[in-house]
Amino acid sequence: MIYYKRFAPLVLATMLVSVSCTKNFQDLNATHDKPSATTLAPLVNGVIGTLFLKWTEQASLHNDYYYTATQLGATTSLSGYVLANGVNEVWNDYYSTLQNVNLALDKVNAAGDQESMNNIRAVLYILRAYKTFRTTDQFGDIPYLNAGKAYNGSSENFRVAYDPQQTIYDSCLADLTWAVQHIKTAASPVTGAGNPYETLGTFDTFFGGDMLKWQKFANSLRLRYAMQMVEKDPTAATPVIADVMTGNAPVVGEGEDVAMWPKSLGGVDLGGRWWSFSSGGAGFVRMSSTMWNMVSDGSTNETVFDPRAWLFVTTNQAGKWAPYTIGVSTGDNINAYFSPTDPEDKNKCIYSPFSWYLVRDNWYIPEQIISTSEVHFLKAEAYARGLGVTANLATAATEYKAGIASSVTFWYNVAANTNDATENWSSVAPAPPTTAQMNRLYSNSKVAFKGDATDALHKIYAQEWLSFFRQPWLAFNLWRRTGATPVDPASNPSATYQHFYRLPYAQDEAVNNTDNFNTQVSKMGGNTSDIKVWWMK
Amino acid sequence: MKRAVYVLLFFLLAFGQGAYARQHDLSGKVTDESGKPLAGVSVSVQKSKKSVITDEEGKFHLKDIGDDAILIVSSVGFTSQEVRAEGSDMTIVLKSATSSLTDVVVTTALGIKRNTRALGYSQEEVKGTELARSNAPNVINALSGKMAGVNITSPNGVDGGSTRIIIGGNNTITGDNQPLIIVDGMPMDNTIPPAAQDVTQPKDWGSAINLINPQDIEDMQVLKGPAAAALYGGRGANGVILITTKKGSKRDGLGIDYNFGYKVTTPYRYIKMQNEYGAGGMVSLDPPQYPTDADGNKILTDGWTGLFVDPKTGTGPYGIDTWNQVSWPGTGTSWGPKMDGTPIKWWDGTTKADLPQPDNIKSFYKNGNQFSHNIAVSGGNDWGSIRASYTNLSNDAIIPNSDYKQNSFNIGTSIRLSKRVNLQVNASYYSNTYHNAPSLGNTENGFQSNLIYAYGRNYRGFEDNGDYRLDDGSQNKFSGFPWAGNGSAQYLYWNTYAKNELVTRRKLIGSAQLNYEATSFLNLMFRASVDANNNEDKAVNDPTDVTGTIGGSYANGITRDNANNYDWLATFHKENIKGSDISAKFSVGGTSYKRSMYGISGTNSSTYATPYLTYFGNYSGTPQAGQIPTESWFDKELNSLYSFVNLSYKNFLYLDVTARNDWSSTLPKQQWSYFFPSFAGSFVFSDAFHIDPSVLSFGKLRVAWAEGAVDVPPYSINTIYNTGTFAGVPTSSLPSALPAVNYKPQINKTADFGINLGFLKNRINVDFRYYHGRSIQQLLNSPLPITSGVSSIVVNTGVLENSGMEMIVKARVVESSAIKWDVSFNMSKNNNRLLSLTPGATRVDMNNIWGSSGTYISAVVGQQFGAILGYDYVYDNNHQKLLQDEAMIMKNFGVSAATAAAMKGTMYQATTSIVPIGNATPKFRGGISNTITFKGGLSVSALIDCKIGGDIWSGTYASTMQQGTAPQTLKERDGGGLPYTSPNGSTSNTGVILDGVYPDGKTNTTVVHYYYKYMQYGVWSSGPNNSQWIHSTGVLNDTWYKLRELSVNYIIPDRIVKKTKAFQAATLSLIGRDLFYLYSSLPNNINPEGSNGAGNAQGIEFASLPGARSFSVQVRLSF
Repeated sequence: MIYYKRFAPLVLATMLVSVSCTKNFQDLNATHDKPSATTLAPLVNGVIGTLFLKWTEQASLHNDYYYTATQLGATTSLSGYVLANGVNEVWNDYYSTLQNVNLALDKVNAAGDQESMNNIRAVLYILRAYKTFRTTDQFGDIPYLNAGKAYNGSSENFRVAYDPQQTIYDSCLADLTWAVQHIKTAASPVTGAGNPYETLGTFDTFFGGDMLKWQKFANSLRLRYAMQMVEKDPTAATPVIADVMTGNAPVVGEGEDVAMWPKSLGGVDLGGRWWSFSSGGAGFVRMSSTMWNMVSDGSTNETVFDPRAWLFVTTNQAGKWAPYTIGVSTGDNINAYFSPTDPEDKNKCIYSPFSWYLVRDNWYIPEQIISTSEVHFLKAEAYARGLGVTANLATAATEYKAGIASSVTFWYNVAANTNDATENWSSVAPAPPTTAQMNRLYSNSKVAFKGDATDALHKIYAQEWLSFFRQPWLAFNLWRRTGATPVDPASNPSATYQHFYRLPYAQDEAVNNTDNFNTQVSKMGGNTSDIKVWWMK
Repeated sequence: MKRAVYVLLFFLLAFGQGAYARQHDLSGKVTDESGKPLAGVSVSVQKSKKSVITDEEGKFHLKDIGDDAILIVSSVGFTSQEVRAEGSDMTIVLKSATSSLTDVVVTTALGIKRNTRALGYSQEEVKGTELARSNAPNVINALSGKMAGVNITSPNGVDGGSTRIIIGGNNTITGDNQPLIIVDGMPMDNTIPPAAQDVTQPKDWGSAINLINPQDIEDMQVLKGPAAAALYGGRGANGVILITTKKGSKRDGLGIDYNFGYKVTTPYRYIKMQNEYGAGGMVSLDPPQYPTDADGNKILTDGWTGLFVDPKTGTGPYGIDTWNQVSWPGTGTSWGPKMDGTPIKWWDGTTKADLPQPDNIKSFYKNGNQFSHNIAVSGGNDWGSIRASYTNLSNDAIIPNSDYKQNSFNIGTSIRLSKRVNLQVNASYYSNTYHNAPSLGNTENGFQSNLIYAYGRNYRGFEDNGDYRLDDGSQNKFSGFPWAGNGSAQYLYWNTYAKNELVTRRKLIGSAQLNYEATSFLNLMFRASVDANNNEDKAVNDPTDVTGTIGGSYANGITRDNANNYDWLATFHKENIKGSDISAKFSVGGTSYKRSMYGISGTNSSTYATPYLTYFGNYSGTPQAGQIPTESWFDKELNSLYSFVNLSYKNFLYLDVTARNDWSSTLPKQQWSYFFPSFAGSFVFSDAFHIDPSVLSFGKLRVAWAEGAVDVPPYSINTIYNTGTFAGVPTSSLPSALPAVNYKPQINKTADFGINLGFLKNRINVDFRYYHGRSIQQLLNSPLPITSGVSSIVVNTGVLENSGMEMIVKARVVESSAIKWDVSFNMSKNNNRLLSLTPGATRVDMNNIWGSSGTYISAVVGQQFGAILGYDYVYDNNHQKLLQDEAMIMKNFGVSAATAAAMKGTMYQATTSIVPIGNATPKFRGGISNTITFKGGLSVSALIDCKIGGDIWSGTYASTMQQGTAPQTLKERDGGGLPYTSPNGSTSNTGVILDGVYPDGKTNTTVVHYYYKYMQYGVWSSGPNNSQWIHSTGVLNDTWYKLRELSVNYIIPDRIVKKTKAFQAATLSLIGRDLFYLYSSLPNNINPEGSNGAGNAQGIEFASLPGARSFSVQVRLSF
């Protein structure tokens, strides 16, 4: 027994020493170089950062398909990237961003005085709606209402069903309407409970905290997307168009084009722009004959009547205007934009390339999101068709010309201010067009209204299409919605382009969301590009 | 002082003795079975501290021992015995432990010595002498083929590289499946670096086990399965390897041993390639022709024309770009003209005869050498023993400019501080500098990848691109070199000599252990151990320009990685409780383990301000992001309490029960603590039933059940956010992979059954083991559709079944005074199936080569671990391959109906997604060794091991078939095909009919160009318009039998040695290792053990090194 007495304390003490220390466990297991918590404002800024176009998206979707399908441009050969590369990029970007918006909204919902979060909620609704519209427009039905919520750990959000595009449209338009109606644009608004409205402060890198700009942006988007669906669901769309047209809330006005301006966003390097046109192995885009027909009446400088021609496209290596006729012209499978310094070294290209500056500039030229000219064209369409307003061709013509003018002004401003380390467009850009030059444009028979609504509508679509020169995804929407954008009768696009109506879903869905994917594909009758999305004619 | 050898001296429990017992003196003698006296045998008295060593005549003397005392008699190489001390002059005969399966004392978990008869689980042992003699690249490799169910994979077999060891099967899909390695009580981290687990481009600097010096090892125990390793908790779930280092012994002479080893490693099994046709692509259906220059001269190839486009058409066959038909073949494509001596303009502008270059497969390789010197001093007296050793090893590889050097210091001592207190201290310090680990797999820094992908068959080896540096010191750009592969294959020699990386590892591992026999029934043990590592990794790539400022890079990183382990154990024991036949031992103990790692590294690849100098601050212009150092951490604490009971009845029935509770810092708070038990029973029925020894000399049944729990890696439970900036303002976002919602430890439950039989006085021993286990709550990265927001979430689900059987047969076939012949055979079969995953998920990908277009190694529900996934043929109901019809060809290749009609019969259909196309899990593993010992000290031993079944996806095979470099591709080119008419109207026997049917059921009968037989082997990219190439063409059964080891060992007889007056003993060994394959199912000498990477993903081979064998000589001298 004496032994027990002697050693029991020793054993016990040792036991205690060896196992009592769990107290530092949490500190020990903390991640050193990544935060395990976040706040609302940086999440929102992260979402804003995703608004730039993606690299492969531009190469394998815009340059390989949208330009040729819409005839806004022509590709001499396909890029080294398959369609799936671009699809994956758009798909992954959208859903990884959606979850951040959802998480941010969770944080908004957790606030005590909900009204104090209205402006931030509105910003999130607008960002979510904008990205969602872009995605659903390209794919059709997509998982939306329950998508991007895996982070909450609930297994029912791991594999979610596809929502009909109409449902998504309704939901996003409702969000935009809420935003327009609830944004407080005053300097320091106060809630009913007396609390100040929360703001994003400097984290609103998109509009610098200017809630009026957010409101205009949201209201303009309402016009765009209500117009997009008006053929298929006029009951839902027309009141929205009417509301915007009535002016209950402002839309983007002159000089307020909504765009991602790399220079004012801390000097973002848009490397994907030039990459998508050349070094990525991407398609070598050229001026299409369709586009050329819309800016000139012949083949010489003198025949150019649209001043944007000088900015959008350029002559071939031989100094000639040489449009590429889709499905007819061949060859020129070379990179006409290869020279980093010399705009005139076009690698002996046969067909007219896009402007070297539009392609090579990484630092100044913006990526448009919704332009003032587009808003004018949408209004012109509403007046021409009597959508939400009384049909009025004269007012339509006014908005139409304002749209053209706005586009011309915008691009001449861009050219005049593009002056960065390697691309000094400002030094060579033509002077802004004179009134006479603009009048020559307005009066050209391809531009001027003849007097009937059908002609007006065609011309509105044509000019809107041209204004989308660097927004081929919007031209793609317009082409699919109206079926009335310009087409060169001499062109002979392949069946692929003629029926390129949507992007097939990402392969990841077939692998990891198999049941819902199969249900959706069987509902559509396939997952091919020739299936129309809901709002198409 | 009399000559004596202290072996197993301090292992034995010395029991207290009641004062009332009658006492007497005892003298005795210990002999072997032939009556020869045995010196140096330990004779201890149970329950007392009395212990003596027999003298040269085998005699011993003990004073004042009880009449009923039990003597424990043990010696290396003999079965230890417990005998009652009867009379005053007794003779004890020790049986040779040739068949060591039945009744020997071994080290078990926590370093506790136990008799194997008491073990309810499976354990195998290998002696340090055997390890040292095998001359394997490391101590783990030495086990290859020697133990049942112990699977050693040594990718490419390069000395200094990682070795993967799996005991039984895999318990986790994505975690570490390797056993815990304990060196003298200290758990040693042996994580295989991620770069060495890569299957595409492994770069293998080896793991910690490579440092362990075989010369310093006393023995190595392999504890199989969770039951054997229950006391190590989760960390032992994969089994445990216990390494005990030497502690010296009492001996004659100066006590100095010197060991010299020399090894030459010879690459001998080079890949077979065709030597008839040179550079040229699958570009034209007309017979291949040399391209010509502007003057009409025949030229080799320009690396594009002729390889990727037909100069006449600017495109490929049928007007379709070649790469759209044939994936992206390498620049080494050799479907070109016959190398018949035609003078052609070489790439460098000279004119050369285009001749076969059969030896280019050997260029670059050389013999490797290894020298080792080990000097050890040891000795002992009644107070204890000590040994100190120093080993110097230098090794250079079979490829140029790759070598390592190691200095090892080891000290081991066992000191009896007092009658009741014993102290053991072991420490090893290693300093290893490894210069340029071989670049393996798909890398243009390595030759083999270039040989099979980048270099055409006309490549002239060193003559072509060996002159890597110009006289001005800048890089030779080899302008015009056509075989640049993906851009840098021309720089092979530059990359080999002008890019240098040096990894320096310094490791101190050791422990101090105090044993205190507090009372006759209570022993206490305290131990403190350390594993301290300090590693540096420095890479210097020479500038490529003449100024010495551009194109170079410098990287440096330092890691300190320290782990401490403190453990204690209190053991209460009582023999023959209350006069019964029951003895009991109860132990309680605890462990506190803590590991802290921190690493920092950076890269300067800027333009240097000062030529050639390598330091981070040497840059001009803007510093690069890599110059901001990257940091890494690993912090973990694991505390444990455990307890166990060993019960025995009459020396034939044993029961062990263990219980352990762990507290791990890496789990969430509510899961910090977790508990797991084990049970093991052993029943020596031959003793219990007094079975006639002539029928059965030994028979034991064993049964065990254990539960183990594995925690998770540090930090993995944390939801962390990505951060960055946009427009100069911070951003944050959710990660693309989410942690689990609720982390729990992974649980392994394993039942283990065994039977152990001895026949003919244990000359034949059979050990059979069956185990069945399930690992649940697998920690898996479960893929989610990105529509959920993330690409994966960690789940704690998934059930992996791990069952199998093992058999060991050991027999002394011949036993005579002149010759002894021992045979040892082992075999194992493991069934390692994934039973379930999280709902909706069917597989977990472990790794892949070539990204999403390539081949995967995955765990697939319902299949064996290690499924090979890729695109496959599409089969109809009659298992016939389906070909593409015209409509499919039109869609897939965007061609007209007319072209599609012409192409009919050229293309198979491929599955639209990756499917299982093979499985790497072997059907059986086994080994057989024969050792013949001749009178006079000569012994010869041969070990053959084998792997039967299991597939491998061979990128080497697929590539060489597609690129026209495999010998098999000659058949049609040499006129062995069907009559085929080329577009130019010429007809030759070069056609093939692709075996298969069309969707309409019609059998294909169209003769097409032979290209289309070989295009199917495409491996590198996805096809046009979402079509796919077929990977199943590269899946091969990988069965092999290998003469692993052949050794001759000669112990120079004492009568000769003693005459020198300088030496006490001398031994000479000659060892051949990895000598040759008796059989390999792989074609073209592709390395059967060339699987890329040492991670869980096994079964992908690409550009494996040629098989190499080694011959070595070892001389051991004792002074």
